Amino acid sequence: MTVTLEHTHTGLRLASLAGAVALLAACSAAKVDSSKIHTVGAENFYADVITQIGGSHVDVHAILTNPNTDPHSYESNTTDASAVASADLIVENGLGYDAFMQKLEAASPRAGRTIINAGQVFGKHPGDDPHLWYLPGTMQRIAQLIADELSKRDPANAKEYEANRAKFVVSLAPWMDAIATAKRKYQGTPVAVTEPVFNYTASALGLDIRTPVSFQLAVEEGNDPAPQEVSAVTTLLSTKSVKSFIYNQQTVEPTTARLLDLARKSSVPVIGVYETQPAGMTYAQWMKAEVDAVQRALQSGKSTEKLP
Amino acid sequence: MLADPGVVQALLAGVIVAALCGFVGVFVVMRRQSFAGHAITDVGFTGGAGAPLAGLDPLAGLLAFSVIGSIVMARLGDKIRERDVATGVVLTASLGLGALFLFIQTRYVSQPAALLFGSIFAIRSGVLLTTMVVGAACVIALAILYRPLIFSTVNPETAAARGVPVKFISTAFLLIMGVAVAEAAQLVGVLLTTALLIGPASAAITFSRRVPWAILFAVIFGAVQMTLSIFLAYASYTWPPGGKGWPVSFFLGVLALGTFVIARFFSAGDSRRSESNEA
Amino acid sequence: MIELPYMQNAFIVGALVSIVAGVIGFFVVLRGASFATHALAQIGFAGAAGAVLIGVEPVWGLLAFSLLGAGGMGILSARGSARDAITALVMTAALGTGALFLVLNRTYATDAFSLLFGTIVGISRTQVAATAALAVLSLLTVAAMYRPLLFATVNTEAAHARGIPMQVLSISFLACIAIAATTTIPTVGTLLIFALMVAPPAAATLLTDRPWRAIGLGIVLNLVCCWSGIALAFTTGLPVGFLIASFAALVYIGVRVYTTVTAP
Repeated sequence: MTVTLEHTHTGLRLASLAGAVALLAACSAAKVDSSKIHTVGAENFYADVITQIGGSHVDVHAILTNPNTDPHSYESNTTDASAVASADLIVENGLGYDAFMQKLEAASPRAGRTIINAGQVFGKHPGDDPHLWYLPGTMQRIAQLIADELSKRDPANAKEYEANRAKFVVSLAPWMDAIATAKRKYQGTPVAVTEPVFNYTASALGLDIRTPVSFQLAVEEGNDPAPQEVSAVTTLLSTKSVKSFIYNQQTVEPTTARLLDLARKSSVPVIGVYETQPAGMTYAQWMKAEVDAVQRALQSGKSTEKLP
Repeated sequence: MLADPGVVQALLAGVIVAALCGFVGVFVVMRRQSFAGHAITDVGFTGGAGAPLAGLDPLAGLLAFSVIGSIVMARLGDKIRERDVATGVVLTASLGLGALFLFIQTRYVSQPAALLFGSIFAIRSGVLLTTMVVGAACVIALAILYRPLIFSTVNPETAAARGVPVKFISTAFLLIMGVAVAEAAQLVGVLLTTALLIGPASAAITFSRRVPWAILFAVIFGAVQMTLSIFLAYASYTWPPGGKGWPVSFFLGVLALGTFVIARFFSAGDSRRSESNEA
Repeated sequence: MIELPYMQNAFIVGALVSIVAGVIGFFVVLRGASFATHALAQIGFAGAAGAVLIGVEPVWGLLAFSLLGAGGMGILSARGSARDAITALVMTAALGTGALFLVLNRTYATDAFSLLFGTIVGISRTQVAATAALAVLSLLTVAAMYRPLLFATVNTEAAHARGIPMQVLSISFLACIAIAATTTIPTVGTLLIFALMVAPPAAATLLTDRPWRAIGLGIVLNLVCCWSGIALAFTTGLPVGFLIASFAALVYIGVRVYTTVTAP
C-alpha cells in the first residue's frame, strides 16, 4: 500500500491524512486470502520484486514504503507484526538496516517460513554498507531465490514464476546498459555525496566519491561532522571541483540542506536519490532513472532533484 | 582555522546560544527547572516534526509546541513538589505524539530530522538570524520580568503576600524559556543547548549568589566553554587515530560537567545549604 | 488477537513492565526522580555505542553506562542542592561521550541503534522469560530496601538522624532505576518504560497517601494504560508507544483535574 501526499493545501493534506489513517485501520482489520502465498517485503523494492514474480498468486505486504522517510527511525506496529506472523516468505535487507524484522520474526515463530536476507545471501557482515539494492546484480539473485521459493511452494505455477523472473531480469537490462555506457564515458569523474546510500551504484559507474567516508557516516547517523570535513566538502562544491552533488532527498537535515544551497549557488548539478522506491515506478525504472540523472548531470550539467 | 568560514560561523552561533542560555539558565537553575529546560527541547522538536504533517512551517510547530508545553508544565506544576512529575507527564505526552508523527510520516509524508547532536559546523545563516531575533526577544522579555521574577524565585510566599502575581510570573518564565531553548536547540542541537543552559549557570551560581553577577559569570563561562569546545573539536582532527574529528558535544558535555564540579569543590566551604537530600 | 504469539508476548511483557514500573515509579514520584529516570534511559545509548566500538554485546554497554551514570548522579548530588542540574550535566556529558564513540567507530553502528528501538509487538518467548526474571530481580531488590527507602523518602531528616546511610540508599535506588530501564529498553523501548514509571504512579499518589495502596493503584493504572494501548493498537494499527504514552499522560491529567475539583 502506498499513499503519497502532494505538497498542496493544508486542508487537503489534513483530510488525506485522516483518510490515510482510516484506510490503515481498515487494512489491519481486513482478512487475508488463504488461497495465496503470503509474503512480506521489509522494504518496498523487495516487495515490488515479489509482486512482479508472484503476480496474482501472492499477496505482498511492504513495510517500509514511503520514499520520503528515514528507515532508521522506523517503529513497527501491529499491522506489520501480523503480516510477519502469517508470512510464508519474507525478503529483508539485513545488515542491521531492518533490525525490526528480526524482532518481529522472533516474536512470531512459524514453522516452514522462508526468510531471504540479502545481507546473508551476499555474505556481508554487520558494519558493511547496507544499501545492497543499489548494488547492480543484487536483485537478479534475489529474484532467482524468490522464484525458486515460490515454485517450491506452488509447483503448479512454477512455469509462470520462472517466466516472470526472466521478464524481470530483462527489464533490468536497460539499467545495466545505462551503467555500462555511463561508466565508459565518466569513469573517474569526481562527485560529492552526503550519505552512503548511492555508493554501490556510484562505484559501479566508476565515479570518484570525494566526500570523506566519516563525513557520510556522521550525516547518516545525525552526528557532528568534523569542521575540516565540512570545509572540505564546502570547498569541493564552491570551487566546482566535483561534477555533481548526490544527496539523499529523503533525509534532508541541516548539513545536507546547507550543502544543497551551496551546490545550487555554485551551479554544481544536484541529484536527489531515493532511499526507498518512489511511488509509480518499478524497481528497474527507478534504478534506471537515477543513472539517467547522473548521465544528464555529467553530460549537460542538468540537475534532477526529484524523479518525475 | 579562523580562515574557515564554517568555524567562524560556528563560533558566532555558539557564543550567541551560550549567552542566551547563560542568561536564561541562571533562572532555570535557581528555580530548579533543569528538567523542564531539557524536556522542552523534545517537546519543541515534536512540534517541528508534526507541523509539516498539517502543511505548516516546522518553525511554527516548534514554537507552538514549546509554548503549549510550557503552559501545561506550569499549570500542572505550580508547587515545586509537583514540577518534576508535571514535566515528566508533558514529556511523556510529547514523546508519544512524536511516535505518532513519526508513524504517519514513515508512511505518508516527509519531515525535518530531529537533532540530538546538531551540526554546529554547518549552520545556515537564515536560521542563525531567526535565533538571534527570537533570542533577543526572550532576553528583553526576561529583562522586563526581572524584578518580580527574582523576588518570586527567591521567596515565593513573601512575593505572593506582597501582591506579585507568582503564578503568572512562573508561567511567563517557562514560556520564555521554552521558546528560547527550543529555538537554540534548533540551531545547535539538544545536547549543546541543555549543556549550555545548565552547566555555566549552575557553576556561576556557586560563585556568586547575586543574580546580576551570576548572569554575567554564566554568560562568560558559557562563551568560554563553547569557544574552547569548538577549538578542541577542530584540533582533534589530527589527534589519534587521526582523521576523525571528535564531536563538539563531547567536549562541551565534559567541560560543562567539569566546570560545575570544580566550582562546587571550591565553594564547598561556604555553601552549607540545608536543602533536602533526596534520590 | 490473543491467539497470535506476538500479542500474547506483548500482553505478558506489558504486564511485567507495568508491575516493575508501578513499584519503582512510586518511589520515583515521591523522590522527584523523573528527570533521573529519563536521563538514565538516555545515557544507555552512549554505552551501546561504546560497546560496539570495543566489540562487546551492546546490551552490556547499555547497562554499564547507565549504572555509571547512576553512580555519578548519586555521588555528585550528595550535598543536596542542584540535583536536577547535576542530572542534566551527567546526561549531556554521557551523551557527548556517546557521540564520540560513534565518531571513533566509523562503521555502520546499526547494532547500537537497533537496540534502542525495542518494540512491544516484536518480543520473543526468550525475551519474555528474560524480562520475567529481571522483573523478579528488581522487585526483590526494591523489597530488600523498601523500609529504609520509604523512611528516607517520606521523612528525610528523621532518617538522617537515625543514621540511615542516605547516600548509599540514594545511589542504590538510582541503580535500581538504571537496571530496570536499560534491561527493558531493548524489548519495549525508551518511551514505554519512561511513560509507565512516571505518569500513572504519580496519579496513584494523588489518590491515596498509603504507600501500599499507592503502589497497588499505580500497578493497576499501568496495566490499564498498557493493555488497552496494546489492544487498541491491534484494532487501529496505530503505534503502541503513542497510545500507551497518551493514556498514561491522560490518566495523570484526569486524576489531577478530579482531585482538584473534589478537593474541599
